[in-house]
Amino acid sequence: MIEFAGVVKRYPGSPEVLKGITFTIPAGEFAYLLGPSGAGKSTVMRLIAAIERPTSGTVLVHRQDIGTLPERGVPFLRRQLGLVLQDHRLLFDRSVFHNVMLPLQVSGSPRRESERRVRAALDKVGLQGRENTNPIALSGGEQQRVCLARAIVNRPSLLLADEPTASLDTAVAGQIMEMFRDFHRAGVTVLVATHDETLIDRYPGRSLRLSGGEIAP
Amino acid sequence: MMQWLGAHADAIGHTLRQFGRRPVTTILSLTVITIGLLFPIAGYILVSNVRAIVERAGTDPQITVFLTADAGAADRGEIERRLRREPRIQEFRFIGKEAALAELQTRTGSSDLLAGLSANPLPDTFIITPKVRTSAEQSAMADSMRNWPKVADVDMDAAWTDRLRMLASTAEWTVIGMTVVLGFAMLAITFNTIRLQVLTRARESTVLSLFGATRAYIRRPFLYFGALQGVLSALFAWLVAALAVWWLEPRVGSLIEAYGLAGKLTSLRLSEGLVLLGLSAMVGVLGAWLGSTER
Repeated sequence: MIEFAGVVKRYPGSPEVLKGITFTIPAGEFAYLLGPSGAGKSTVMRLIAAIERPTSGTVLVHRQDIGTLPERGVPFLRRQLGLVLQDHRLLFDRSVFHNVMLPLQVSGSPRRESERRVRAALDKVGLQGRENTNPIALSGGEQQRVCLARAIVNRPSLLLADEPTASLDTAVAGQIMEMFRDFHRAGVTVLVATHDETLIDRYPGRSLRLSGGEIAP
Repeated sequence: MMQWLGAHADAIGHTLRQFGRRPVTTILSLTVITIGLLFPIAGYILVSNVRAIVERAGTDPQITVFLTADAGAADRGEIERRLRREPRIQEFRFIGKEAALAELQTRTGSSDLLAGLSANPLPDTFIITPKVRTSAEQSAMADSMRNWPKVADVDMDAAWTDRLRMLASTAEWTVIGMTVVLGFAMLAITFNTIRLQVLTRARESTVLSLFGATRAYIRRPFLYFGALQGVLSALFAWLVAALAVWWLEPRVGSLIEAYGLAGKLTSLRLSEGLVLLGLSAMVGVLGAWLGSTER
């Protein structure tokens, strides 16, 4: 599912962010990418989503090599992923419903089918009845649920979440993590990048610890 | 196919919402482009009307061949034979000196004065309608006739229409130059409008890209915006030009008549208007493409 082999990432004029990391996350796994800020967690997530390309080494996602994936192939790879981003990336000029519909819209899903799936996704994250609300009017936890609904609406086989609980209180963070567990139980591979090591105690999963751009033993 | 149509319908819907979302900006941009388009349209209308008048005035250009005073019947016969053999001539007619004098008397009403002349001063004349259309060909034909025996002079009555035609040709090139310059201006305006839109919607574009939108998908609404802006501006410019022609027609019509010419001031024809819409849409799309490609 995800395979990193000797992956180095360096930005121009900066030291190496990733120093030849190697790991594999098989299909159906629930894994954490742990480490303090600046450890390189977000870079790993960005490499998986083909937002960045590796400087050297191989990144395979769904057997596709991110290093050599042509630019025109990137959108089709991303349609197989569910992304929950640290800063939500919600659009405040449209409703919750239309935010969640975005991935279906860009992949050209038929309107009626899209509407049905958006309602189902909102139902799954407990936001039924809030379809017409502007996301700006929602709390942080509710906004994160919208992100989650948007990430799963396309029925991805891989769900990536970058610091999904960072700005949430413990109770709401717990609800969000429970949802990730539910998706995992439904067969989705889940990779959560977080600096909060207490999560792993409450919601067990495999952990990959990043430190200074390397996978800690 | 339905998916492709759906994506385009989405992009068009998005474009229309974008127009409605910032009405003042939209109206001002359209106004600037409309004014920019009006200059070459006005120039084009002027040139095409002048050309039409010139063509009407010059549809039957005539060459007059004056014979010498001592030319006799045999000489006239020889000239007539040569004219019949000349392939560049459509038709000709002969006006004898007596007939010419009689016509002059009728026209001027000065029969007494002309009757006092000791001899008829008018020459025998052939009026020729040439088959060849260009003034160069007609001049060449007139030059060759000047060398014929017993020909005193050859006169072409198309000289002034030639000058008008040359003037129209110069104006035409001026209009082409103006169109190119203002086309670039339109391109720049569209480019800038779209660039600002791209900047404003950078967040949306990034989100769309993260969730699998292709570049074509992200760019499409901008291209539609450019095209629609071009088409609407051209439509307004066409309308304003048509209204201006309608308002000017009676005044210019009197002027045309005062010069003894026939003609009616006309605006753009439907085909010309459609070409204008098409070209404006293309320039709009090009400007939008450049504006959206920059980022």
